[in-house]
Amino acid sequence: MPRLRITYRLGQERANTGTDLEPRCDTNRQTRRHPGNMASVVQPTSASTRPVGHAGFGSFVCILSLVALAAVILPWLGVIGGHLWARPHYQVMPLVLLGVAVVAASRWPGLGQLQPGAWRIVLVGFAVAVPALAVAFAAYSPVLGGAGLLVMMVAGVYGLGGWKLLRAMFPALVLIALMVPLPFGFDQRLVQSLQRVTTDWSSHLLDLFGVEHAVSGNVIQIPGKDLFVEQACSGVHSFFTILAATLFYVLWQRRPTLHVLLLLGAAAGWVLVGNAIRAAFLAYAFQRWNADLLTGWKHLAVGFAVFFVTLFLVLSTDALLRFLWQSPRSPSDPERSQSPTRLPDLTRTWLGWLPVPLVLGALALFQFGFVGIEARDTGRPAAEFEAALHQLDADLFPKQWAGWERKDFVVESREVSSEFGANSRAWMWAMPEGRAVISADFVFSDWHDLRVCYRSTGWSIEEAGFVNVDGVPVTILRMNRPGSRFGYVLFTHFDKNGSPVSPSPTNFFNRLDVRMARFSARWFGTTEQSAEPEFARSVCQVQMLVESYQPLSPAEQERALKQFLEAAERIRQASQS
Amino acid sequence: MATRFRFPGIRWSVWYVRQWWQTRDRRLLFAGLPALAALVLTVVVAGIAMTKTSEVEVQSRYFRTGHAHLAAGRYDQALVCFERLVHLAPHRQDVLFALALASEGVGQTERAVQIMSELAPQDKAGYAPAHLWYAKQLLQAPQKSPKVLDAAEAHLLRALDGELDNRPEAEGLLGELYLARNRLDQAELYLLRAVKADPRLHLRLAYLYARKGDRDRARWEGEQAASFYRAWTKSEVHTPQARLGWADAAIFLENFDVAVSVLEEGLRLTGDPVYREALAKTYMAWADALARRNQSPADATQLVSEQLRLLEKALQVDPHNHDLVMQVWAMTQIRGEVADKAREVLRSQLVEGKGSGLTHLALGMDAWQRGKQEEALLHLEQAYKLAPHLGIVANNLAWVLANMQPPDLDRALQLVNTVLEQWPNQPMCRDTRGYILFRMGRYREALADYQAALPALRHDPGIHQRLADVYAKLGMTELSEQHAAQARKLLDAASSSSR
Repeated sequence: MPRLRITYRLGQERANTGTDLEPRCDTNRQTRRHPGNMASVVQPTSASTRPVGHAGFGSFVCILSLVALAAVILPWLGVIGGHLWARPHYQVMPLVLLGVAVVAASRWPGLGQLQPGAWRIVLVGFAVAVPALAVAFAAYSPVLGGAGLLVMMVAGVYGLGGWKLLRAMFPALVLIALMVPLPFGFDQRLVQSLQRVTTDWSSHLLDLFGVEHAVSGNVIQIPGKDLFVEQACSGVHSFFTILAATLFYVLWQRRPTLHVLLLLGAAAGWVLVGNAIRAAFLAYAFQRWNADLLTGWKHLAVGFAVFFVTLFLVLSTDALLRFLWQSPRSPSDPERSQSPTRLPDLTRTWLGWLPVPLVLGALALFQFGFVGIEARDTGRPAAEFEAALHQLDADLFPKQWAGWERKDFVVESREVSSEFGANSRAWMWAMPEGRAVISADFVFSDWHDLRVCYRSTGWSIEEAGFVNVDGVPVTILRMNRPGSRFGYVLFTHFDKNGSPVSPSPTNFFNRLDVRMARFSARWFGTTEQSAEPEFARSVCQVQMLVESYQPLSPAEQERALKQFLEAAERIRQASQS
Repeated sequence: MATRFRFPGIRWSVWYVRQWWQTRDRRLLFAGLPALAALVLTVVVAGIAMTKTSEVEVQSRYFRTGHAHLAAGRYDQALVCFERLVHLAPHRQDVLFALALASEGVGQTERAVQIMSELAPQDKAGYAPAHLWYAKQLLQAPQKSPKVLDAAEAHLLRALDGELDNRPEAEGLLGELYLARNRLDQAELYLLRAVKADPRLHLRLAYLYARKGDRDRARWEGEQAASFYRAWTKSEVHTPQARLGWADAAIFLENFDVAVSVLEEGLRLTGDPVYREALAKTYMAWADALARRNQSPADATQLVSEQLRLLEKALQVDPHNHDLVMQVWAMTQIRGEVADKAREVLRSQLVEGKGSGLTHLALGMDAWQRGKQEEALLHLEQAYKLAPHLGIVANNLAWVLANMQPPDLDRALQLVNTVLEQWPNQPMCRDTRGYILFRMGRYREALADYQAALPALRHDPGIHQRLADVYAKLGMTELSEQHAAQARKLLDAASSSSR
């Protein structure tokens, strides 16, 4: 006798599968408890029993679906993981994954027998996710890919266990959503906003304690030192870490929604307060005690101290909130039955739908078709390029150069994601118009807009222009600051092969265009339209800043441009040696 | 019947709170206390910060503090204060002015000048203290051309038209400027206004009245100045300005012995080298005064001897004084016993170890004038070794090398080029190089140098003669004749004036 392993509740939702292999169920089915057996057994009223062979085929389809799903997801883990790891504020993500597992595991027990979700909803979810993933991989967009995966996960979870499972797994899905990179550079803008807030609050604190200082953008100037909040507040990155940790904690502990929101708000507040105190303390320590806490182990120690105090305050706030309202269990918690959680027959869920492995398999193949699609890199290895740039030294320019006198040469290293570049070589000059700095900053992944950097150090951009001189694209900025200070900036970029790099108008569509063209050329034999890389991978930026106390005249600007072009060429040639 | 007010709401609230409190877990309160305390502290600090660090409060505090730093000479800190202020109030003139002063203090002179230029434009009234500052900068310039003086005058007048805390300073400067430009009536007006606040200006008024011919008033002003400086010196024994001012007043009143004793006392008390220069100046002034007083030819020899004695005393206190050495050298040109005496004075400087490059220069020039080439060359070589930085030494050595027999033109050219590298437009050196190039047969180059030197030396017959020679060599006879004629004319004029 065929055994049916589907269990239904009387009057409950309709179980749906949508395929001919599955029996259609309705609420009129009667259930009878089998003596000694917790499971209810349904007596089929219609001839909808599946033969044994069909059950075996269903299992095979399930396995295929899982394999296809893995084939779709695994490349994305690499893409998104690499994208996140390049940004220090996202480097907490491996721990977030762990948190997801912990939260999911804590919500799993006691859900009882799960029922698959409505097939229409699952279908809609996959209909959105699959094309999104296809386009995302074609355009190499971690943001769109992350969103697509998230939608697929939501639809998949719903499809497996209905609203009950989705509600139970919702906290874990919220944590997973943290790993989806924010689009349009919102994360960078958020970091910049946090730097501004931190600078502002630090300034108020310093005023309160009578420490004289000037504020210019995100730079706090005290006599003898300029303190850039980026340096002082790599703790701005702790904002994301603390928020992620707080979210994990409240989800794991099943706090009510209002409690979650209040605690997240409090965590954000404590982070900002902590960072402001930290920046102010660094400035205070330097001015009062001549203690330089900006580098070395002292800097790390201060950072860790602030981090752990902030974490402690978050936990304390949680206790305070609980004290204020020891609310009963959240109504949003899934109804917990005493019975262990059991998945439905997977062959009856979307995993057992034959189109699923077919569609996912096609998607996986489509994604696979892009592997190695990048423009064949026949140029120099990136490591060699970077090594050559590290060799740049003071003697690249003579001490006296076209009326300029070299005053100093500085080597600087920063965080990988620093908006000023991870490494810099800077030559300082005294010149008739004022003083100038020529620097080589490397490596960036693409053309890099310096306006953001200069704004963050207090400059106002009066005018920005772009010229092309003998194939060298040069961006020109005219800037000023209060108190009769003027800046004239020229910058250009070249890649590891020494080729100039121009700003790309719209990276997403540019990449999509180029990669689809290559895909077609590879698999369908069409002519490849572009041999250009869709994005440059190793880029060096050369910039020159002329600081003067009056605006440069047109003749002076012309001279500066000429000097800059010569400097850029020297650096470019040195990088190719 | 009286109505009783009832507040069931309050009673219910109390009951609710009591119920609520009884159901709380106190351990959670204990765990939450740090957060509560931190929150309260944050709110309190934020509240205080908002009231005490409002923009108005910050501006006021930084303005006061910045000026205090400026007054104390702590320019780094003053600069930070005013940089902050200029971001908060970029258009406040007083802030920009103070920022410029702080920038000047830390060495950002160009920035200071740029800010002051904007605050004190040339063509219209601006911020009065900036006009005063600008005028002071112009008046401190070493080369005060008429254009510079005009600009300084305009700035001072604009400063006085505006709101100025220190009006007497501007009036005093304007008075001195008019005095320097010989506009005596205007100078008198402003100096009289300023002298009440600045008694130092009595001495300026003394010079003014002396020029106006009002000797009595001049003397009175001089005595007022002397009295003021005397009192100042007595109260601040170690302040050079007071003692130097007293000496200047005494010189004006021709009380040279008083001036000398005042300065000698200062030198004895402090050892400050500024007194040596002042003493030398006093002795030179004394020597000049002697010359003005004694007009009788019979007393000429004694006069010159007396002058030489004074100059010798000056040399003893300030052996490196250029003007002094040149004055002694000038005395070697006088024939007879005086010349010998002057030479003896210079030689005694060398013997006593007080001689300098200048002493050798004077002796070398004297030897050259007397036709003693070897002696001249020896002294000038020594002068060059001791004072290679003095352009006059290199120039004169080059001249001697070019004119001696046999001439060493290459070395002469190399020497004069070292001077011209530093001062490319020095007319005497251009003339010397022109002569050397002429001797080397490089006539066109020589002509270029002569032409460059001509505007400054146009009254010197020598240069006209040299130009005549070079034009002749270049075949430009007309110009050659014109310059020769000019040379003769100047020589005739010189010889008739000496008669």
